[in-house]
Amino acid sequence: MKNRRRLLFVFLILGILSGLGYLLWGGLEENLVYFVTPTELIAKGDKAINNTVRLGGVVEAGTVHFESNILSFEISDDQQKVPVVTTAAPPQMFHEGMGVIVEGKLGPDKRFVADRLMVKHGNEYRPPKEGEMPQEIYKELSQGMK
Amino acid sequence: MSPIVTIGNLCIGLSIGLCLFGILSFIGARKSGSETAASLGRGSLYGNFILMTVANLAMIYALLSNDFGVSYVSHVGSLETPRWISAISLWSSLEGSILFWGWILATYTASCLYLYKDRKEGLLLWAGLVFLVIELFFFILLALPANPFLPVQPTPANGPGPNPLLQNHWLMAIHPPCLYLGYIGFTVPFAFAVATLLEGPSGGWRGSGARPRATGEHGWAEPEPGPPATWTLLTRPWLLFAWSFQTIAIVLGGWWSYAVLGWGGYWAWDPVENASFMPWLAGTALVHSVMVQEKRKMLPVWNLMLAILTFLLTLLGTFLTRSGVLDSVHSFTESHIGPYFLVFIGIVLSASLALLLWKSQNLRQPGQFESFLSLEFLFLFNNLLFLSFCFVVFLGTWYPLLVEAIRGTRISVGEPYFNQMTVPIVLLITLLMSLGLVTPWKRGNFKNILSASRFPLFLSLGITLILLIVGIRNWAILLLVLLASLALDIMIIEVLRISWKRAEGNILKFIPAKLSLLNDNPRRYGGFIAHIGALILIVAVAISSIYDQEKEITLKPDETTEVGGYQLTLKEIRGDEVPQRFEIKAVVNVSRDGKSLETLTPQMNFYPTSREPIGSPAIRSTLIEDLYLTLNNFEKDGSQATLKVIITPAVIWIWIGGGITMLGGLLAMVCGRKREL
Repeated sequence: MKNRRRLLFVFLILGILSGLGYLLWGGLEENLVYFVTPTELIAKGDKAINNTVRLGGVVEAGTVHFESNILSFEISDDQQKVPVVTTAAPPQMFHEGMGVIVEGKLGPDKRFVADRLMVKHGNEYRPPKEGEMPQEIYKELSQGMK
Repeated sequence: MSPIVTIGNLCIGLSIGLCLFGILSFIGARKSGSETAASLGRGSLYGNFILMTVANLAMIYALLSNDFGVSYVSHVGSLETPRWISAISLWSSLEGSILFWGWILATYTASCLYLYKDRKEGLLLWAGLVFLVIELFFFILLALPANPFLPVQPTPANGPGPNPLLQNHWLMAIHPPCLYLGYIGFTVPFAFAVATLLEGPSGGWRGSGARPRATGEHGWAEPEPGPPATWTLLTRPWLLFAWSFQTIAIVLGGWWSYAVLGWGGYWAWDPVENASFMPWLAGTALVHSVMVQEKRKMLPVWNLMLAILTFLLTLLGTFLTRSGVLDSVHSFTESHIGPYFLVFIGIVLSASLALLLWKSQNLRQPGQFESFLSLEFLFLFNNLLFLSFCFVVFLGTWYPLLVEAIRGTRISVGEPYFNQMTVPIVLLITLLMSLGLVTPWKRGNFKNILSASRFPLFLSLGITLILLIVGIRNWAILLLVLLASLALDIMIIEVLRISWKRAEGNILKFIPAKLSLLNDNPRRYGGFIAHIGALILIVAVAISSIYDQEKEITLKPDETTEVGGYQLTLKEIRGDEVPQRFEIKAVVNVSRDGKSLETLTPQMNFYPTSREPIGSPAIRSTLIEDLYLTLNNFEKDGSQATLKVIITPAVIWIWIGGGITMLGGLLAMVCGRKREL
């Protein structure tokens, strides 16, 4: 009697666990989002169309247009450029030359339709890189806004 | 060279020496039974506490006095930083965090052994030994890869200041200390669990019959009367304390994210958030399952495993957030600290597993599982759910890193994964809360359970029906409200019923009677309060994540627009120079139905050392909804500003619920302790 109950108990636990495991893998596989650069995205050609990916790069200078709540710009990685359109609200101080990550799909017209613009939040501070000149922006602002 | 450099390094060096000395003392004390050796071991822990206090105060002094001859100050200090921010910069970067960690760890361990210094169980000697081994690891980190006290030659005139993100909000002064109190507090149950395994089943009475020992002058042949306390009893207050702080730390972290980052949300399943959430999930399972051991003499080995798992998850979480592994799997070796952590995690894991395999056989307890309809089974089910939850988060956090390490492709796990997986688990956990309230230990019967929950069930069905009539059609929310209000009703009815009985119908005695309940059965009624907080929090998270509206507006000065029933008028755009930064402010007047409510000032802060500005959203919180404004863009001539407006219901209840949960945990820890030990 005791042993039978114990066996039942073990089976019950195993059942719960295997059901969970099955759900887990399914859910994980379904929601994996690949992170690509513009070069990698273009290299995939037609295979990339309609697959959700995260695309990261720099906002190309002179390409940002904002019309009736549709934001369009180009993301580049110094080799290739991908045009992006989105209705998502841009993060604070969205400006040319900043690094962004967008999540969405490449459409058949080779334009990337993004439904999210990411706000990165790290807990480690990185000082500005070479070539970035926060002081300049800072100075310009503090003179212009006084 | 700055004197602070000398003081700091001297403290760290002496602490390492004391650790080694104390470890030897504890081993000697356990082997020979010498009371002197045990005192020396405890003395090392006290000594480490004093040394760490001195080292931390020295660092705070160096930060406040801008002593740029100290390496840490030259990384995170600056002349322009406001002084209160300089003081809390102690935990704004890696080296200072580890130093602060050492201080909290030394405080926990010294006070724990001090409070239990009169107890005679050998268990405590082993626990002290484990404490010292863990301290040794952190002190070695401080001495080598994360030394905050390196001399800087020549002394710079100024420094870059702390990370702009961390000097933007008062929450940064309290969120990290709370998190450390939580994280590091889980060391105590871990150390006692390992000590139990090392000591074996005797309960560890020094000189008791299990292992006869020569009795010296201060012989221990005379054990004190009463049964030997098990490790779960000894560590329960510490576990509840750590758990309460871990709870509030996670909530405060969400609040910080909400109040600073300007995206309008508070939780993104970000690895940094998950790192703090996983130990909490395992710790919550442990808080529940130790009760089964105490009441029913069951699950002794399971509890040991959970305590070890919780501690391991804190180490893994720290590794995740502090080793640079998140930027790229291959960059973590440059962080200096990553490899040390991996080695230590490996040692803890293999030693614990070996102990569990070799030593847990003889710790079995007589408790027998009797029925599926019993509180112990519900607790077991609760544990399965919390651990599954933990595993879901674990997989979603580590799988991308694993793929990157093996295949070199970068992937991320989308938020839908976490949401899909956790919603059913949370619903089941909420259901268990009510069942657990009406199911007895050992063996229950359906009739009693039904009769106990009939009235609350009607009540909660009524509440759900009201929501349905009001127009809420989301089935998950309705189900959640049904389950949550069921648990709430059961608790409230029980408290009212018993206090009414106590007050003997006298309305004046009603409230005092309520309070005396806490002292009678602190665990049950402290638990009630914690669960009420958790239910509030769960419902608030659900409602706020489903019903929010977002809109982006562009306004010229004195222009008005309407969003979600509010009229927003842009008064002006202003630039202010303050010592450490330049602030651009949009002054917005908020009114409703022509009645002015308040003026909100979302701003953007430009730091001379940071390319991206750091925003400060402006939030109007009410008990019903939050109006959340961020300044997204502006014309430099002040002619127009682009604002994002987010209106989210019930957000404030998340922070309130978190606060109540923490309070419940602390009350369960503080009230009625005398009787139990």
